[in-house]
Amino acid sequence: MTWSAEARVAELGLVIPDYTNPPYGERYATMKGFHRTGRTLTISGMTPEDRQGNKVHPGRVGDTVTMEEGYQAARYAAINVLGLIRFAVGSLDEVTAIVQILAFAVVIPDFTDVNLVTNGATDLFVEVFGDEIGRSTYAGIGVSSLSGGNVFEMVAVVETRSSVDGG
Amino acid sequence: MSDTAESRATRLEVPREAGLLADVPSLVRHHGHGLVTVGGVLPETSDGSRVHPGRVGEDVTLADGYAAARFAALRVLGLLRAATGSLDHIAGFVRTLTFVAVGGGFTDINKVTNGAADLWVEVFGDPGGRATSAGIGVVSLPRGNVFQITATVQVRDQSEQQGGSAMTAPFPMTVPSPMTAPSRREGEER
Repeated sequence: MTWSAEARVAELGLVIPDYTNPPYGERYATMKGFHRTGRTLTISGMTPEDRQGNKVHPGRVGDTVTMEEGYQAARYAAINVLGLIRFAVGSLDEVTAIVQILAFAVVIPDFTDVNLVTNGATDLFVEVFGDEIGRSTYAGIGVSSLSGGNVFEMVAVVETRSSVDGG
Repeated sequence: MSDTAESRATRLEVPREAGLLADVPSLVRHHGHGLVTVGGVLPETSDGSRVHPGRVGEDVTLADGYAAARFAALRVLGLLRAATGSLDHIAGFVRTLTFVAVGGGFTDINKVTNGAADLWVEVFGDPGGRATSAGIGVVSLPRGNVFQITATVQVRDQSEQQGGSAMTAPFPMTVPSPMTAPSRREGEER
């Protein structure tokens, strides 16, 4: 049986936001949600916020945010990435690989378990896309601050079945 | 006068970065799908003077951080022009990663990095000048700069955009003087 990310999302009961309206990023900056070249889909920085801008566990891990809360925030941002993938290419079943994830977590200087926070995002992708498609190249970086006081932000590069160049 | 990215950029005095490219070839990389990546661009003039070095939230104001981001974005355009021959060859912005040195609990990273994003929309229009973006607040950047940016763009023609040969073209290099941030329209928190 072939793996279906859309079926997995239904199985897991994930609520994936719709990015059709309001447009992505309007609260923050002069930016766009995604860019496609060939079979490569580049997703803009995604934060753990709902479409109204309510933030999940804002603050700093090791200070006002626990590691478990940081993990949940990372997972929430990754679910938002799923929403943007759907917005860009129509269906999660279009994804043939998660190519790259850069994950940024706001932490106090002494906190070094950055990976245990960012696993919230990488675990989610494996749950949804399976190990073969969902496991990504990855770097996790502990930083001073992120826009809007968010505790987590990630950028993702995804490979899609179809090509915008018609290939 | 036709209104193209090049004509708008000329009015903004985009620096000729060819001389700089010869010195630092690693700043620009070409790869597949007609993509060009410009790496690690700092808000520095050709003689190494830094535009508003320091940390936003400590010794650099939001407006100065915005101006530094705009200056670095101008340099990116200079590098892209040197790498592709003309800004009119650029079909779209793929991705930017922007880093801002911050302190004192400053979290309006996006309002600093808009200095870069707004400039490209001025030059390439909206939505053509928009890129996917992530803005990251960090402890420090090379030489104490307040801002750093990497950008990947897509060029129209995959093969014959002059490429590396343009890097040695004997352009005179001029660099704009640091400028102040234009006033942001009200209600930017949309």
